Amino acid sequence: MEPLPRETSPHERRSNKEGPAELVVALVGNPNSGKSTIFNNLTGARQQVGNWPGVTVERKEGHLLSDGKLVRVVDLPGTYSLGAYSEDEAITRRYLLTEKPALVINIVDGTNLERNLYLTVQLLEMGANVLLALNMYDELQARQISVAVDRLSQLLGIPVIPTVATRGQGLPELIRAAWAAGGQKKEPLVINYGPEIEAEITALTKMMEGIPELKGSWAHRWLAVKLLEGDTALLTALAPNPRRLPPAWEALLAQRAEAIKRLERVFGEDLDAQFADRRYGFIGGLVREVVKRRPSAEERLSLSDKIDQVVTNRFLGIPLFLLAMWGVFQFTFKLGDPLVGWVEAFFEWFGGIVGSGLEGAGAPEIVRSLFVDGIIGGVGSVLVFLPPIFLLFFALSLLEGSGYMARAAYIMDRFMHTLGLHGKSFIPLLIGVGCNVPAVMATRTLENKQDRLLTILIAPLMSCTARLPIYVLFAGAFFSANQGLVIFSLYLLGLILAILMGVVFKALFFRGTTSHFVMELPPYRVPTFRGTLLHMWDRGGSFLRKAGTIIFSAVVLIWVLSNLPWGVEYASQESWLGRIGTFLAPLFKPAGFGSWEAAVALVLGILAKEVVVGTFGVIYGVQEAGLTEVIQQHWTPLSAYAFMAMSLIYIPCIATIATIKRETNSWAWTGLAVGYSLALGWLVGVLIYQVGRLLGYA
Amino acid sequence: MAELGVVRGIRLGIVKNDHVGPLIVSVGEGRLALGRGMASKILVEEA
Repeated sequence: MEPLPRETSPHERRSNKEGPAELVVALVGNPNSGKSTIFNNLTGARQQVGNWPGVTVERKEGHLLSDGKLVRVVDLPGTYSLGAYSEDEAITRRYLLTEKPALVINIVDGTNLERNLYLTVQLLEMGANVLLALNMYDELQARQISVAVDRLSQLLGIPVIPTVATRGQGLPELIRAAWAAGGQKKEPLVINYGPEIEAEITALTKMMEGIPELKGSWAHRWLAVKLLEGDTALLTALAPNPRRLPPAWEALLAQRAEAIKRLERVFGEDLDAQFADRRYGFIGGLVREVVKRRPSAEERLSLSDKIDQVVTNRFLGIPLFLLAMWGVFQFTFKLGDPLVGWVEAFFEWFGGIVGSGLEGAGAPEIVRSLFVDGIIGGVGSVLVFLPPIFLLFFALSLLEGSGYMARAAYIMDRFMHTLGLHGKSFIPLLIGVGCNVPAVMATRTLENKQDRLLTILIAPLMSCTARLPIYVLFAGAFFSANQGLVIFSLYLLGLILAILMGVVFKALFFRGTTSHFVMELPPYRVPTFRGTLLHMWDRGGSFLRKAGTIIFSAVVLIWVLSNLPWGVEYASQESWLGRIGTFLAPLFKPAGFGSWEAAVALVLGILAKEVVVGTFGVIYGVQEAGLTEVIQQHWTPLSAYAFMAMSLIYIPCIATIATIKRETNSWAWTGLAVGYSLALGWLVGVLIYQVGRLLGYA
Repeated sequence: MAELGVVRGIRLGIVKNDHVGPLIVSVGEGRLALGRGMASKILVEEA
C-alpha cells in the first residue's frame, strides 16, 4: 500500500527537497480519460496533495526519477474545455498560462476521440507544447477500431503515444517521448474561423502588437480568439494592473466590443457556436482521416450500452441501486467487524502498557489519567472505526471507478425532480455518505445557483462516516443480530429527510424552473485495485488527520472539563462537563435520552460527530470494549434508536458549517442549515421515542 | 453542450428513452445523460 499523500501548504510545496526538477510536466485531460491513473502510475507514492491558491480544488503533484533525473508532474483538474466558466477550467488555464510547463501531456480517451480532441485543439491553439497520450488503446483494439497513430501525430504536429493506463502499458515510451519533447517551442495551431471572424482576429492582433506588455506572452491570435469568444478574463489576467488598465488595453477591449457587435449582425445568437463548429469541423476531418472502423464495430451495441439497458432500466434501476448500496454496507460491516475487534484489543493493550509504565515511573495519578483515560481512551474509541470507514471509502471508490456513480445520478434524476433538483445533485449527496465536507464542495459542478444552495442545505442530512461510529456502537449494543439493517435504515432515514426538506425548501425559497440535466456517462470499466486503494487513502486520510487534530483536542478538552473544578471525581456529574450536561438534559427527555451524559456527548459532537463516541469513552471511563456494556445499562433499544436519529440529523459538524459558509458566502444560509437541522433532529428524535412507546416498544 | 460534443451537424443516437425521465444519447462513442427538458430543445433531423 502507498503511504498517505502528505498535505502541504503552497509554500512548503514549492521548496523541493529532492533538488530542482529537470523537467516539469503538466497532465491535462477530460474527466474519465484515465488521467488520474496515468498520474498515479507515473508518480506512485511520491505524491503531494495541496490546494490551488485561493480555491479548494485539490492540487496534486508528484515526482518521478527517470535515468537519475527528476521529473515533476502536476496533475491539473479534469476539464472538457479551456474556457473560464468553471473553476476547474479556470485553474487549468491559469496554470498553463502563468507557469508555462515545459511540456503538457494531454491524455485523451481513444474511444471518444472527437470530444477529447476538442481540448487538444484548444491547447494547440494556445501554443502549448503538447504530447498526446492516446489512452485506452486496448479498448480501441477490442472494438476493432484502428487509429493511424503516425498520421495523427503528423496532422497535429505533435508526438502521439498509445497507452493503456490501467495496465501501465506505453508509460515508459511516454516518459521517453517527454524527455525528447520537453521544452520545445511550438507554433500555435491555426484554425480558420471563416472570413468574417478572421477579419476581426486580424484587426485585434494588429492592436496587440502595439502593446509592449503583450510581447512575448501567449499567441496573439489565440488571445484574439478568446476575446471574441466572450472571454475577457484572460486578457485582464495578463494586464500589469487588472484594476486600472492602460489606455491601449481599454482601446483593445473597445475594439472587441465593436467586433462582437459586427459579428452578431452576421451570425446572430449563433456566434458562440461558430467557434465550436469550426473546431469540430477541423477535428472531424482529422478523425475521418486517421480512424478506421470496421462496419460491424459501429453497428454493434457495445457492452457498456448493454449493461446500461439493464442497470438504468426504469423498473430495475432503483432496486439495483439499492442492492448496490446494501452490498456496500454488507461489505463494510461484515469485513469491518473483526477488524474493529483487533483495533479495540490493541488500544486496551496499549492503554494498559502506558498505564503501568507511567505508574512504574512514579507519575502522579492525574498524568496517568490524562494519558490512559483521556487521550488513549478517547482517541482510541474513535480510531477503532477506521476499518469500516476505509472499507466504505474503498467500496465507494470502486463504484466511482467502475462508472456506476454516474448511472446512479441518471437513475435518481426522475426522483430528484420531485424535489426540484436533477440527477447531478445526487452525486454530492452520495459523496456525503463519505463526508459532508467534500459533498458541499462537490456542489460546484452544479451550474445553477439555486440548485446549488438547495443541495448544500440538504447534503448534511446524508449520513457521513463520522456518524458511523455512533451507529456501530449503539446498533452493536442493542441490535447486534440486525446491525447492518439498522444502520442501513438510518442512511435511508437521512435520504428521506433530505428529500422532504428539499421539497420544503424548494417551496419556501426556490420556486421556479428546474435547470437542465446534462451529464457524461463514462463507459463501464473494471476499476484498478491500485487506483481504488489510492482513492480510498485520499479520502480516508482526511478522517485520520481529523482524528489527529480536532478529535485529539476535543478529547483533551473533555478530559479537562471532566477534572474541573479541582478535586472533583473524574467525569462525574459534579464536574463542569457534568454540569453542562445536567443543564441541557431535560431538553432531551422527551426523546428518551435525558441523561446528562447524552447531552454532553451531543454538545461536543458539534466539533465532529465521531467525538460523541469518544465522549462516552471519557465520561463512562471505559475503553471501547467496555463501552457496549455501559451503553446497554443506560439505554433502551428505543432510546438508542432515537439517539442515533438525533445524532444523524442535528447540526452539521464544525468543518461542514465552515464549508457551507465559505461556499454560500452567507451567514443567513449557514444559520438556516444549522438551525433547521437542530429543530428537525429534536423533532424526529422525540417522534421516534414517543410513537415507539405508543406502539409498545421500550 | 458544445464541449461535450453536441454541435451542429453532429449525429446523435438514442440509446435509451423511457418516455419519462432522462434519455441516454450517443454522441460518437460517448454517452450523455440528457434531461427531457434539454433534449426537447435539440432540433434533430432523421438520418
